[in-house]
Amino acid sequence: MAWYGRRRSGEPRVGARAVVVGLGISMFGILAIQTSTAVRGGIDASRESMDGVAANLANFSSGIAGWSFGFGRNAEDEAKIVELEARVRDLQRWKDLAETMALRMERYEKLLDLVGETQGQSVTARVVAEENGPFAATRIANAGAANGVREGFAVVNENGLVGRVIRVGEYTSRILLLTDFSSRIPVMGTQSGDRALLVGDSGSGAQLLEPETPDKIIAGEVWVTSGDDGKLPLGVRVGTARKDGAGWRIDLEMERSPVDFVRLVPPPDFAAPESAPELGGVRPNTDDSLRSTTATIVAAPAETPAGPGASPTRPATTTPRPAAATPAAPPQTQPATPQAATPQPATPQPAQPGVQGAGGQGGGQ
Amino acid sequence: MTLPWRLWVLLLTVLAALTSAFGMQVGMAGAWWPIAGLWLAAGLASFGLSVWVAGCLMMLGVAMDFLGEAPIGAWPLALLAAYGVALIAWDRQPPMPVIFAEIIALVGGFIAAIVALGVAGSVAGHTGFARGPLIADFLMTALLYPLVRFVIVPASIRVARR
Repeated sequence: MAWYGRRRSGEPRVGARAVVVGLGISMFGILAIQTSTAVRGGIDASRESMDGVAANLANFSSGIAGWSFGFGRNAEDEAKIVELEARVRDLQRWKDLAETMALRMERYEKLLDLVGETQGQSVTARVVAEENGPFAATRIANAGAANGVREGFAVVNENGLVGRVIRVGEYTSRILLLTDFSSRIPVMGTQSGDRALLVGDSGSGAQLLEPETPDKIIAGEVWVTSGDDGKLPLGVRVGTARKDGAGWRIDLEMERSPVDFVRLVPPPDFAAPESAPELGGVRPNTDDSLRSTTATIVAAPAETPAGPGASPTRPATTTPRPAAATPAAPPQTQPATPQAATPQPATPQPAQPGVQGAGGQGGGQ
Repeated sequence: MTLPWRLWVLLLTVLAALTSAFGMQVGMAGAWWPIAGLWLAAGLASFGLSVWVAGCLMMLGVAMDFLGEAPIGAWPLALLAAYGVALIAWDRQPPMPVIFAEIIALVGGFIAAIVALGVAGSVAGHTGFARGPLIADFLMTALLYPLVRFVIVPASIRVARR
């Protein structure tokens, strides 16, 4: 008998086999119930917290490797830091220039009375974990709900569009890449003006699905987001078109360099269109209601004396207005709440010094 | 099975989970990274059928589901399938040399796992399934297995089945 126990005593272990097979069958049950949206929603809630754990695990295991294999800062890293600091200084100059131009554009838009796309505050984050497995191509960024990130934010890097945020934890957010099977992004060509859906298929780049006018697409043409879904900003660079058999593919800009730092951009802040009023109080027409309306309209001229100088008759269905000549009711002390909706007679009320303060603006005219 | 052995299997499971998480680091998405669960399924089957091992593989599978954004239950099913194939290879009568048992356990386990993952994805209504990254990862799993087997498969079994 070894330290791990007695191995293979010879007798068939029916109970153990049944348990293992039962575990396998139960997995099928668990998988099958995930077709339900409610179950998936529940699982997504647990995934939100697990994204943070996954990011921490990736950091922890890389920390162990760094400690055990002696990975650390060296001369090469120092040189890289110096180079990056120089780039930051350079970029600061570009940032100032961009801000000046944005200000000018805002003023031009105001002059032209153009309804622009107001953009919310974006969040810059670092990618802390990557996943490129059989089921998903995703990244985890180290900014979450606590930093103002919400589901549906567009994710861009220095090259162009990377994907969009599909789940947000407190301090992490899961990014679905353009190459994922589930990714669907409305795009358009900058030269052809053609519009299509960019669909990931886990291959190199992504394919264009159902372009409106495929004959107009030019090889090498730059494609950008069209913003047709109202969720992604318009004009974010996606990639360049390439002919692939009968269809077209886009060589994605995001694949030009590793995705490390990303900007999480909120959806454009369009004003919501006014909703039509509900038809709750309107009853459908019936024969009786139509007949009574017609009778009222026909009967109305008979009540008005016709004459050469008579004014055009008005339908008799109008509600009677309060008579202006109605004698004023005796002055009473009103409660403090003014009744704005009630029609008040125009008759001036005598000022009552003792009561004036209660109504606020009752007299003193 | 003894308590030290169970603890050892648990420790191997945790190490496998950490190995999987290590493959999620920035810049490693395109790299071939071994499927540590497959090592465990192929190697631990040499001890014979064990509910404890099956349970540990399931826990590891659930962790891999969360890490890899897979439907919950897909990786547990895949690892159990690989474990089943590996058990058949190791328990074959008359016993075959250990090297053949390991090759069949590893390759057969991978084929069973990839089929199970595909079935799991369709049962859960998941759109799409990419085999490319899996095959690359399996090649790395197979390349590193000769080193890992010394940790997973005890010397007494290796010597006895030589």
